[in-house]
Amino acid sequence: MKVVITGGAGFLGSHLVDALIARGDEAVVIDHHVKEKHRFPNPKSKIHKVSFGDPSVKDILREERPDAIVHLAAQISVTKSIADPAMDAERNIRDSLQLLQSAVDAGVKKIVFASSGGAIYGDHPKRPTPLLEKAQPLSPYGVAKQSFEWYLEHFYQQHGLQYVSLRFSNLFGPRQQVAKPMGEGNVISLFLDRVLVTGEPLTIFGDGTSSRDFLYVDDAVDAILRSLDQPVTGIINVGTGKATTVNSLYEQVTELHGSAHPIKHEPYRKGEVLHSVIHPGSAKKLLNWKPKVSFKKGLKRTYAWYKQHFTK
Amino acid sequence: MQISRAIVTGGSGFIGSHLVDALVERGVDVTVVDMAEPKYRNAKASYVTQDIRREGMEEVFANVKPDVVFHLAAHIDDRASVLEPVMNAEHNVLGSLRVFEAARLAHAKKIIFASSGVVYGQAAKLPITEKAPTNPLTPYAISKLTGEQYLHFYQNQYGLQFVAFRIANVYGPRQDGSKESGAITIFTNKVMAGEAPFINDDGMTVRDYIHVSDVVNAFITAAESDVSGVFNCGTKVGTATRELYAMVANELGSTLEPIARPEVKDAVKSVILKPAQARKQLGWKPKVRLARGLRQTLKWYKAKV
Repeated sequence: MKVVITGGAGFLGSHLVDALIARGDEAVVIDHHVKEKHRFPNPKSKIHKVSFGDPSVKDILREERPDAIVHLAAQISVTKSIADPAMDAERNIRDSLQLLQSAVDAGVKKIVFASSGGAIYGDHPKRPTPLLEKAQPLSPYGVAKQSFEWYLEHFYQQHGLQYVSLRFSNLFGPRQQVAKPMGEGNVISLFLDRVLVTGEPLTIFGDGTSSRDFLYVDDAVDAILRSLDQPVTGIINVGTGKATTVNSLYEQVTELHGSAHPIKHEPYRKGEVLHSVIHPGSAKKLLNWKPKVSFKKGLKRTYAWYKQHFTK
Repeated sequence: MQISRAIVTGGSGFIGSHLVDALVERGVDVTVVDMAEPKYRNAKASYVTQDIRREGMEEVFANVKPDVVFHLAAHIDDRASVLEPVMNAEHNVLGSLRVFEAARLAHAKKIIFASSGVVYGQAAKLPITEKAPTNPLTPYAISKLTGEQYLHFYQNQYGLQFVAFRIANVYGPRQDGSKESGAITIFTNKVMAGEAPFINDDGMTVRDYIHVSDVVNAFITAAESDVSGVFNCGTKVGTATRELYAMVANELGSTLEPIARPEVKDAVKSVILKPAQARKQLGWKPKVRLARGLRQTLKWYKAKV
């Protein structure tokens, strides 16, 4: 199979490209930031250093004629989307829509999209949140993700472009970056960065009882591969169904590190989701997928990678 | 809330021009933001030629300091949106965001947004209430629902109130017959030119036709209220295309038979909007029945010719 991966040198993208190449597939990467620090291009992948919103992508797709596209490149910061909703929409709606149009023009059969469970469901009262629950995104980032899912469904109905939109819970793992230079990772990469690199105190918003459903990156890659391989179209929730509070994360990180770390408490930020846990039922049913890496094991691997990568 | 200053985007258009007249009549200081020159200019309103997608929006809003922003400017051709979804999104998603952002920065208190009944797609139950699930089938419908979602964000994040009206098919004087939403206008123009109009699909496509004065009334009532949220703006009465044509032809004294065009399908067969929430929360209900509104509208077209 030949697959085009937008954002294929980034955190999730590079793991996916590695997995595709390991199993003998052809991986073509579209990634504007490939040369920057902390990107992980696979030397066996073909790389186009261009933004996915660039007009030339149309020609790239026509030449490459991939069987499928995995669309991972995006404006990924919730905070930035709140500060500048139009900037977020330009990337995550308009440019992404342009990519869909180009995919149809190039005769691509399928697109797999990295959506976001946490951002789309907002603070959903029902947790773990199953697929069919009504969604009210809290941030422009979440609005754009939801909107693009509607466009995916329209392109499927109108042009027969199959799609799988994976509403991931909070991904973590090796190669995930902190704020600079590529935008925000999540609380895990921030904590590890402060504990192992900067030594700054860990910021805990509110009383630390807010919770997330952390999904290890290998499990996310597995869900993408299954979406490519199986004749399924639609939206699928991909999470572990388990909640980890920020306080519990603090304990587990400091335990791995072998020492306590100073904490700085700050009030909750407006527009931020307090609790997000995604039910894995639809992924089990539609992709025969379930998470394989426990949070503990995943955190250990991630800690080891950060330690090796960022400390000498 | 007493409105003293208002911005109307799309105020040069069909619904917008009626809204501007009504606001001016109530003593509101009105500024129109529109990329097109007005066909029906109100001498007491100010007009700024400005594309909502372009730079300059924030300045216009900062200068006017509106209490209320009526956001009507949009790319409204549903069928064209299927052919050019990116263009449609640039107008209706990015353009709307620029309007909302400019409204926030100018400390507007409320946004009234012209959404559309098409966000429901083909509803399972008629008439459609606000509780019905949304199912936007076209890029136009998606863009309108996306606009609503952004308004929820602005309300939660900044306390900027909004009312989004999911509007039925609007008709009335000044409607431009070139857009597909104006079946009444298209039929009228054809018949008055002595030509037989087309009737798409099987002629049994049902729409809810609402007179522009009722829509304007809903907008102003919402702007003056303290209510926020999403409201249907319809009449709870459905009319099939065939029946609508018969009414137009009868009123114009024409015996022209329409030309059936069964190959042009309507993706959504029936839309009838029940305005239960607007009635309950705003005390608004439509006043103009189709027969009377049609007569008044046709009179206007005849006078124009």
